[in-house]
Amino acid sequence: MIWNIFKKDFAQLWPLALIVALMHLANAAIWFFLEPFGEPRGLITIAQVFSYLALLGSLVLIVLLVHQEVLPGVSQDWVIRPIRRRDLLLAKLLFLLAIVQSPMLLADVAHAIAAGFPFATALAAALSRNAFILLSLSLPVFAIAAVTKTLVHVAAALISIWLFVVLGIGLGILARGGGAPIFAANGIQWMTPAWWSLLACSTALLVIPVQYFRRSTHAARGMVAAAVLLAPLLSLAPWAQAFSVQQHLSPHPALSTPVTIAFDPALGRSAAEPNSRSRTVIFLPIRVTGLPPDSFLMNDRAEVRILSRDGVALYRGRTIAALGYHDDFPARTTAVKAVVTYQRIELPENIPARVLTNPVRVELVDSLTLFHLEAEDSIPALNADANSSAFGRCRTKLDDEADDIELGCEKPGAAPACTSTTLENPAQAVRGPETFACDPDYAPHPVHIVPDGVSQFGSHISLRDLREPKDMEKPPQLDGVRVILRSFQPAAHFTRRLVLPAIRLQDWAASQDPTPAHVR
Amino acid sequence: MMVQTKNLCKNFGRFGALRGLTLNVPEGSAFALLGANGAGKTTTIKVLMNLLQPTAGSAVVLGVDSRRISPRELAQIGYVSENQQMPEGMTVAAYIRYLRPFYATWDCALEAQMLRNLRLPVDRRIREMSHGMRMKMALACALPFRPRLLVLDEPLSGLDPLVRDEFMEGLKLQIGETTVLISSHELAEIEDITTHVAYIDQGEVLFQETKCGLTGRLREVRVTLDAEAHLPPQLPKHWLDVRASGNTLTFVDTQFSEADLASRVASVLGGVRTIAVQPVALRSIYTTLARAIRDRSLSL
Repeated sequence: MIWNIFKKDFAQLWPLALIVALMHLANAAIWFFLEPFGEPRGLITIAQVFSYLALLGSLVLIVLLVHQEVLPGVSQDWVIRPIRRRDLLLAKLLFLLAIVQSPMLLADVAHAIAAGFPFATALAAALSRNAFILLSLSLPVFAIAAVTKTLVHVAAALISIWLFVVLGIGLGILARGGGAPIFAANGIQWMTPAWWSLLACSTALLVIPVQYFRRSTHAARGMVAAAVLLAPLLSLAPWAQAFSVQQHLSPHPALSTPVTIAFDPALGRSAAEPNSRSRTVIFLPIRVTGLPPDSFLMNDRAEVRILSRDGVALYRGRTIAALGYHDDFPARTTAVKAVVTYQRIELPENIPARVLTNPVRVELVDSLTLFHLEAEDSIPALNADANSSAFGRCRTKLDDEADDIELGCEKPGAAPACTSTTLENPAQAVRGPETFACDPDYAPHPVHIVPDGVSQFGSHISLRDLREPKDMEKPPQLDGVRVILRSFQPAAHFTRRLVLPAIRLQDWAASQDPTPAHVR
Repeated sequence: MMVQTKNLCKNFGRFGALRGLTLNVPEGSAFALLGANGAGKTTTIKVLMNLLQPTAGSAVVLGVDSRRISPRELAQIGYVSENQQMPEGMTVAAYIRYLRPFYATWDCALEAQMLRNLRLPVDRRIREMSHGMRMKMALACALPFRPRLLVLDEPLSGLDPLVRDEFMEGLKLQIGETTVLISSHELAEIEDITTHVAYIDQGEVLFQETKCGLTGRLREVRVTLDAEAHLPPQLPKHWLDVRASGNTLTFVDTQFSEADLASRVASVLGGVRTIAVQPVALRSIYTTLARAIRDRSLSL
């Protein structure tokens, strides 16, 4: 009977199913034909909106599929027919996999194969994305449809859930005294959506059988409501606990063992930041040792506690107010040597002057991630179109102003967490600075969701460092010039505690000399 | 018994829709559930079909507890309800084609006959059909598998006389083969097929018996008196709907007995010239009982 139900649903829904399938294929085609340089912006934006519309189409199809046999209520004709609930559910799930999910999978595979990737790579990335969408989006929407009667009810329910979760997160932020959400803009930001996905998926796996086998709409709606109530709480986990989970997921925790962080006053004061005259921004000179070769360290979050000499807490908080991957503690190296850097501590403007002028005890707790080199490759700097296993298909071109090389790569699945690019002219033995581009995601299995199964990444590489000032007006000579690409993956997450028993913070405000002391 | 309920209760919040309802529907009967709006007829049927769970008591359908009705039982039960929600996007033909495989006993010849008799537009989508068409379609989907039990919940409600006739004609194709449990206010239409009657009020069965028994003991009595009729202060409790007009007095006797009718009437009224007795139609029985219940003067 499963096939009979499936055929009936298909006969009812094939026009929409066809439209949605074509949308997914068109989405893949659009992103195949768009060059991975992020331009033109307008077209990219339209293409991104279209990819969301394709996903939305799939979700509408799921709702209509479930609503072919509405579950709440006592007036539905199918309820008094000799239809086995198990058969009905299996038929719906078969439709979900075969008609809703498969076109996405096929489109992803087709895009990756057309871009020149092997079938196995294309399929693995497409399956990963497909499974994620199935578990975190399709099944939860299936469950919401199972406890509602119409598409309008589903839309209202989803909007209500979204509003409630946003409100809950907002109230949570207010309850903590303001500031950004704990997971915002850092590598462990995957955790909250992962918890939400897990919650949505597990709720769906409870709700769907309850509705199909018991038709207990009140109980099923209660489960959905409980999950919605729980969702904002999952975003309020304390940083220490969340990072502790991340530590346990470290792929190579032993790599962090030799890493030490020490206060090094010999480095002198930091140079002033451009456009900043703040007296409350402190730069503590830091020496990082024990980094393995070809690695760098990222400070995910630093928390500071300032106490008076007699132990009274004067200040406690994050070292920065702003969000961002790069603000806390960028200590990067690709060589085996100590790294010197500055720990930036941004104190409130209204902090009492005595905190800055008197000797105080400073305690710093850094949550750190060690990245190690995963792969290295090089491609011509001009008009390259090359495939590599680590970076996928990468292309280069000179930008319109002829002062940058544009690098665009596409790769089935998630993009590397961090990449660096360096321009090299072997003929003249000239090498530009290494430029990092990080969008760190410490998820154990990062998944790329939109716009399709192939991710795009890249960067602009300035030609300035390879050219003499006198040649800047001439067209660049890029024969033989190559772009060295390096990708880095998180290897270990760990914390380090730094205690300065007596320090006068005012002494470590930025120097007005723009040159760092250790360079001077 | 095809259907048996015992002390069946169903509460909606604090409201008791069924309050200890006990019902027995014999096999082969055409059992009419009578009662005012809100009496509990539809709730009873929904509990029997396992669309609602009883709060207390038991309901057994085809020998199975209603809460455990499985596709095996549903394959032997036809159900037509006035507010049945059919798949709107399907055509009549597509829906019937979809249903066929679910019923091992589906009779395609009977299906064709039903479609013909009911004059159903098989290529029209359900959402484009009138209420009457939908009810006929529900019947066309409920009979071709020759159900052992046919449950009809207000199937004639809102239908014009022609469609009612067509519906009843369709229904009569199956009468005798199947047990019918019908809740309807269109008593004139169902009177021909009804064999048993139960009267439900406020979630309880006031009485249930064969139609023959009921129409046998309920008679309309017309008494012509020597003088102008006046209602005596004390009337027998089993006289319902008593009316006086000129020297004529009419009432419905709920405990009619031919044997001593004259003496019983004479003992109450006196000066009786003639007594005429005639059977009461199901519709009149219902209205008489309903009026008596409303006026709290019922004695059965």
